[in-house]
Amino acid sequence: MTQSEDKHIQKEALDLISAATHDLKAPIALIKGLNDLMSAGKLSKKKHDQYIARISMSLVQMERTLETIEKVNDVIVDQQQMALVPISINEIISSVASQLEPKAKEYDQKLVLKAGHKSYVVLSNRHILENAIYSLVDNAIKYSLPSSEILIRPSKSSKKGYARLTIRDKTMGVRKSDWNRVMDTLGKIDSPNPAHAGDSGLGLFATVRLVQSLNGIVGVKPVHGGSSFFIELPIAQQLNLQLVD
Amino acid sequence: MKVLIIEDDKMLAEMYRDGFEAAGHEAINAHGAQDALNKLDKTEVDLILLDLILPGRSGVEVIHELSSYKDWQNIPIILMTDNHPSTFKIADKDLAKYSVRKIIFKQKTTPTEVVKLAEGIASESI
Repeated sequence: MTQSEDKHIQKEALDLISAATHDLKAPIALIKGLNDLMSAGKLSKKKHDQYIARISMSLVQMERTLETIEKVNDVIVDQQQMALVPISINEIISSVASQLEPKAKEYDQKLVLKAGHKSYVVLSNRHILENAIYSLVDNAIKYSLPSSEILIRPSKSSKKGYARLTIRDKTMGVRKSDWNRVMDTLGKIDSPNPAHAGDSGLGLFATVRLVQSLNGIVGVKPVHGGSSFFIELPIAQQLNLQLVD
Repeated sequence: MKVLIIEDDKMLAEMYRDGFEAAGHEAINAHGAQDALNKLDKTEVDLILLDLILPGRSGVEVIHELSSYKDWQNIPIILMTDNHPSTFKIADKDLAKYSVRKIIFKQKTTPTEVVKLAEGIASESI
């Protein structure tokens, strides 16, 4: 490894730490705070049960963050090569949606899968892809307005040989500076100066890095009253096998 | 005491509201800057608990906006952040100028401590 490559990996590792730290702060503050209120012993049973559920949810979130750190670390530090196999995007989004539905409900949001009848099979790695999609949907839940819908839709990409997964949310309005930050995160993974790629949390940073390791692309565009993130991945080619007599 | 809690994380916002209500105070939540300003238009509050990072307008922009209205410029503010307060280079006189009485680090301050801090600040303001 050259000195320049080594330096680049060190910078990416620092970004990973920065992004992960950002994502661990909120659940830690919540667990600590709820524990403080529970210790006072003045809660109704309903409130007590709600706090226990929220603490459990925060612990799951922290476990997920640690898993994501490990996976991104494999990609950026160890430069691990992924074993890619044909995988149905529809199956992965169903799995992610069922995992995140309780969280969406807590935030008074609804996950809407618009999968249709067509199943898109991409060449990918199940764990990595699931982690990447989970991070994007989780981000959409965190930043969407209450009582809003988050649309998740697989489709064929305009890029030949690629499938697209779109996640559309309704947010409180994104300022130009925030868009610049998001675009910066999307664009700076290979930049020589990734000083603040982790500022928007692990979600986007992890998604970009993980999807890149699957030979895919992550993009975003502002839509009326929100944002539309997308992942594009190569469709698994069907082999034309012929039976030989 | 009536407190306006401006925090976009719904679960943290509810947690602080529960803390104030358990101590016998009234608390209302606002999930962003515009929501907060709408609520301030309709109700008088004794103190504002304000998250520094908000979607849309930031906490700092909210502080500037509040300071430009005569009715709101003297409402004491507790500013909350995910980053350690030592990372802020804001002089005390500048904080006071904008009615910011204290900056707290969310992970290091429990709801009970926030309530006690708010009670102290509100009693000084009377």
